[in-house]
This record gives sequence, structure tokens and C-alpha cells, in this order.
Amino acid sequence: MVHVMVALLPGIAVHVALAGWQTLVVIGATTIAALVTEIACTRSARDLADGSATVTGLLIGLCLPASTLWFVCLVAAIIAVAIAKHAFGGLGNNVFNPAMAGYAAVLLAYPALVVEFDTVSGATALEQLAHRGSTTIEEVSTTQAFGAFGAANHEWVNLAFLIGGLYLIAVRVISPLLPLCVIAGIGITAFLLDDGGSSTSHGSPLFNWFAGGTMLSAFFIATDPVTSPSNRVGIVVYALGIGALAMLIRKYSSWPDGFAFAVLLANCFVPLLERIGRTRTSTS
Amino acid sequence: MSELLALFIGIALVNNFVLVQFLGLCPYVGTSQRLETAVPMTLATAFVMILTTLLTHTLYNFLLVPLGLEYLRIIAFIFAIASVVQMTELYIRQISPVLHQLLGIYLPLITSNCAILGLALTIAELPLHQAMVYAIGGAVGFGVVLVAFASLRERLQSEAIPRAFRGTPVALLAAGFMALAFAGFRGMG
Repeated sequence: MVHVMVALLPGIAVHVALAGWQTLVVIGATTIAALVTEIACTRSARDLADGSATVTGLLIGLCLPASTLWFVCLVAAIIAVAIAKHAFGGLGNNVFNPAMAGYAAVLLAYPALVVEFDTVSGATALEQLAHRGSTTIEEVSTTQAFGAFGAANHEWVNLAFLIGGLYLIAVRVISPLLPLCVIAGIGITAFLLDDGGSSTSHGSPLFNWFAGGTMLSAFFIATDPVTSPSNRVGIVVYALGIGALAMLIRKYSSWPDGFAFAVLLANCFVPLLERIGRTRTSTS
Repeated sequence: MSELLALFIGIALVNNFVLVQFLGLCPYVGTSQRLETAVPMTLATAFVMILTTLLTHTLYNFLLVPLGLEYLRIIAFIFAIASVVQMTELYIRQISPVLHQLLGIYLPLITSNCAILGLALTIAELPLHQAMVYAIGGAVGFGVVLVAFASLRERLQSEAIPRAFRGTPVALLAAGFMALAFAGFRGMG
């Protein structure tokens, strides 16, 4: 888990540098709330050593926008650690990714407070794509929410998380198969949905790789060893599914980004994928 | 064609009977303890859904509407649903007494599965081909979440789960998080 925290650092640094010091307050609030909840649930500081609560807190903080109120941070962290993890039997028994369960819960409970606004450029590129009326992609992409190749600011944050993710692969904390399949899933879906730039187009694969939470989700969230399948077939289906679902939610639903929901949806089917994987290996 | 696909996805995922409309929760919690009961329940419910759609749709458009008796639709539909369920139960008892025993009370209870009456009331005024797509989409949506939930519940047997949460409470929490995940489809279609 120390490696995961180290790998998150470049992303956090770029995120804070571009979106302002308030993001540091949000990340700090969710992390401290997650740690306190962890201690309250286990009634000891012993379980803190595994670092899982810290990582959960950091991930929630990175998903929430800088303007998030303190109690929203608190609610997200408590739902993540106390309900999504400890009510299910603690680390190793939880079915749903704790960080995404906490984040999705506050997204649904306080939609007006967790609207993703970028402190630098106003609405983010994905927000603008979701609520743009009939403007074409060229017209939208001239606004300052769009960067050189991805979403403004978010492209650099995504690049930093990509570097952190490659570090995790280099030190063998995660295998490259899962994140690659997530990236392939969103890339293929974006490519199939991209019609060149009409008013319903949602941008190229390159744009979608470097917008919203793509790299953070692919390398740090979807790879959670507890809530992802363990067999190879399961991993491929799970990861491609997350990428494809996230892209479909980005384009067709009323949410700007879809990774939190895509990960939770994929979590619902992990036990089934494990079962299919087991029967396949036992018959071959 | 794309209109029918939108209808199918709309009822199977975006407005899923169980996780978004909260219809049919009794079999969802009652028959999901094991995959061995969830899969037959899915098939039986799908069978009943499709057959009752045909029956109630015909009943409504060729009997109730011409006679001006639309206000009797709830009674008429319950009657139609009950007969189809009775038939299904007799059939299952004949072909597999073991399965009949496994499903127990939940088999006749398909009659009072609110998803089926809800379906019949929703599709009554649609054209028949749309009604059938709606029924198939509803059955697929119900089956997918029931089977996923059953396999998920088999994982919730850990000794580490706090005593207060063991059994049904943790299953309801899991169902809640599944509904949270399905909220991601909001606004689609």
C-alpha cells in the first residue's frame, strides 16, 4: 500500500497545483475521516498498518471537487469505510469498491453540492459535453474547458496518474492486464461512438483517455485486488466492461463521468465472473 | 428498430424493475440465497411475464376497451396473472418435483409479484410489438440482477461480518449498493 500512496503522489501534486489548495483540504478531510472511521470500526489502530483506509480516503478526496463542503467529505468517507467495507466483514470480504461506493453515494445524495466544477476554468469539459445542447464538438472544444489533447487541466492530472500507474506496474504491485483492458474498453467504445464531430459526438479516444477520471480509475480504482476478479478471463471481461460502461454513461446518461458507477456495476458481477472462471478451469 | 432497442435498454437497465422502480422485491430477497433457486425463479418469472403480457394485452384491448370496462383492469389482470401462474406451477410440479420443492412458496407468490402487475398495467395501451419488447426487457433486467445478486450473496457468508449484519441485513446493504450502481444509467435512452 506504501507503493500505491507513492504512486498517487505525482497525480495529487498536479491536481493540487492546477485546481488550488482547497483540493488539499478536501483530500485531507476525506483521508482523516476514513482513518477515524477505520479506528472506530475496528476499535484498534492495528488495522491502520495495511493502509487501505488511507488509500480509500485519498481516492475519495481525488474524486470530489475542490468546493466540496466538509460534511460531504465526512459522509462519503464514513459510507465507504463503515458500510461498504466493515459491514461486509472488513478488508478482504467487501464486495463493492469502498471509495467508489462512498463517492457515488454522495453524488446521488448531494448532487448540487458535488457538481464537478473546475476552480480554474469553470465547468469541466465533460460537464460541457453533457449539457451542450446542439453545439458540435468543434464549437465546444474551442472553450477553455478543453486542453491540448484532453480536458483542460485534467489532461495533466491524467498524465500524472498514468505515470504513477506505470510505476505500480514496474514495482509489480498491479499487473498490466487489468488497466490496459480498462483503457482499451473506453478507447474502443469512444472510437465506435465517435462520428467525427457532430452534435452527438463525445470526442475521440485520446480525449476520453485524458478527461475525467480515466487514468485514476484504470490504475488505482479498478485494480483493487479485493473487488476485482482473480482469474484471467474474469479480469478481461471486468476491465473491458468498466471501460465500455464508463464511456456509455459519459455519453448517454445525465452524469458527466461514469467511472464510479461503471466500477460499482462491474463489482455486482464479480462473484458471477469468479464462478464462471472456476468452472472453466475445473473442466479444462 | 432503434426505438425498440431504446425501449429494451430502458426497461432492462435504466428503469430496471427491481433496482430502480423497486418492484418485485420479495422474490429478489426471498429466492436469492442460492443460485440454484435464483436461476429457475428467473426463468419462471420470465415465462409468466411474457405470457401474461400477451394475455392481459389481448384482454384489455379486445374485451375491456370495447366494452368500456377499463376501470376493471386491475381485477382482470390479477385474474389473468393468477391463471398463468397456476399453470406454470402445475407444469413445474410435473416436470421437476425437486425444483417445485426448492422454490416453495415463492412459486405461487409470483402471482403477487408487483413487477408483473406493474408490467401489465404499463403496457396495456402500447402497441403489441412494443409491449412484447417491454416484457422481454423487463424479464431480462429482472433475471440479470437476480442472478448477479444470488452469486453475490453466496460470497456474503464470511465469519468476519459483524453479527448484527449477518444474513439479511448485509444482503439488503448489497442490494442498496447495486441500486446505487444502477443509478449510473439515469438519463439514458
